[in-house]
Amino acid sequence: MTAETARRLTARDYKSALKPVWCPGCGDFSILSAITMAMAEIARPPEEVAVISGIGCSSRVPAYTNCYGFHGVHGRALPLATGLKLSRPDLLVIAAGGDGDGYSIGGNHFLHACRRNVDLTYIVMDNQVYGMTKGQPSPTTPPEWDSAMVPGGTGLRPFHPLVIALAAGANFVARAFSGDPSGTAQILVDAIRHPGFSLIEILSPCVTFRPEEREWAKQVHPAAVEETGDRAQAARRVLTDDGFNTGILYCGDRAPYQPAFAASGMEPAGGGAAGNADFDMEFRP
Amino acid sequence: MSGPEGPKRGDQGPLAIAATDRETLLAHAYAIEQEAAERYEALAEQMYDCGNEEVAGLFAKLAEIEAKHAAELSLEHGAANKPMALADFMWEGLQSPEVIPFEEMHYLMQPHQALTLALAAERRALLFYEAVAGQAANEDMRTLAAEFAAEEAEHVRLVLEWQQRYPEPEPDWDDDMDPPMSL
Repeated sequence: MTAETARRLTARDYKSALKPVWCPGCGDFSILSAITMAMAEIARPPEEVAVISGIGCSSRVPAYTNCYGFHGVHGRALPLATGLKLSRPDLLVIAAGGDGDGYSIGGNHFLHACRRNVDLTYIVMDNQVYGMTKGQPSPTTPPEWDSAMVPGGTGLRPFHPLVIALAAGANFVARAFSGDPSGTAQILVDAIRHPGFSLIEILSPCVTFRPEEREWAKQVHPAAVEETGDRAQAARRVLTDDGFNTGILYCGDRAPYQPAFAASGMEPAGGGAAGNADFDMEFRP
Repeated sequence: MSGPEGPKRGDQGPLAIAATDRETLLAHAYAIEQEAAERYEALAEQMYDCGNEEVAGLFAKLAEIEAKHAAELSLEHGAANKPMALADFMWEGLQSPEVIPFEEMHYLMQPHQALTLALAAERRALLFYEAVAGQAANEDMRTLAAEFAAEEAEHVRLVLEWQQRYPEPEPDWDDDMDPPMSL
């Protein structure tokens, strides 16, 4: 594909023929729009992009794009995406999923993906509930959320993904809102262009099991301060904000992790595919 | 449009656009119609999937109208010619003015409600062009924006007439005998 052709790609070029089965009103529709808008802006042809997910409503997203996709095992989007990016650094790799998939079942992978800082973009569509399985509380559900499933609420302190990501070493941290697809798309573009592991936490209302989240549209607001490259300052800010600040919150300068055999294009020992010994060497120096 | 302003993206809104040039205004005008068409098409698909065929049909019709309008803009004014990066668009709100936010949808929505959303979208577009026309940098842009505002005013009138053909929903319009939250 020539540069001239690439400039003419539109968001529609990144949408598949499959139609989303999300509930009308779901924030994930807008996020899908934002992803395809961002792809068009980046102008990498669909065959050079891979969208990797786990399980859940939002994890259906690879099927709705025209890029390569992998709808993986619950909570395992990040290890799949990490493996793909390490073996094919030429691809643009995006991991996507929800708060339950990413922060509970995949919580340990989330920590180590931040720590490894492979050049990935991780999109978490956070609706603070397990929607696909009919409304159980997730790691980010407020403790007082009362429902038939958890009468009186869980009473548990919610997980704070942005602070965890900062502490674990993520190189780019942002919060967005599904109701702002243009703003979300711009953040995604910045995240994709930034080297290393980028987390974009996108508030995405579940209108079926958390109808009160429709009110988020009135609560979100742009962050009052510019992004920072100071990890401690960013952590202080996100710990003390109201949870509805949107924008890029942290932009670091850690060099992405990339094993020498992949970066150099040379084949690892034993043939064209990376062998266990090579990964052992890279991950356990 | 519901909700507060979006994240900071430089100068925004019709007044900022009024201070630019004819090509930038045309690029915004084309994006308004094209994004509205695509959004109506997506909303129609959602409603078909839910078995709400009457509302799906309305949205499909609106998608056709907006797509035709986008094509006219492209043909008559070359409105699709200027390449624009995401960051170059200067929308005042969270999205371009004529799209219905996905979050406003409900699977049991009735035609009157669907057309109420469409009417609000047309009115946002009308206000947008009126504001550009009122502050345009030159006579050419003022004339163009006023022409677009007149078209949107006509759309507002037509959608209002269309809406009045349908009854307002009963208070229990969203009652579902088999709701998803049945635990």
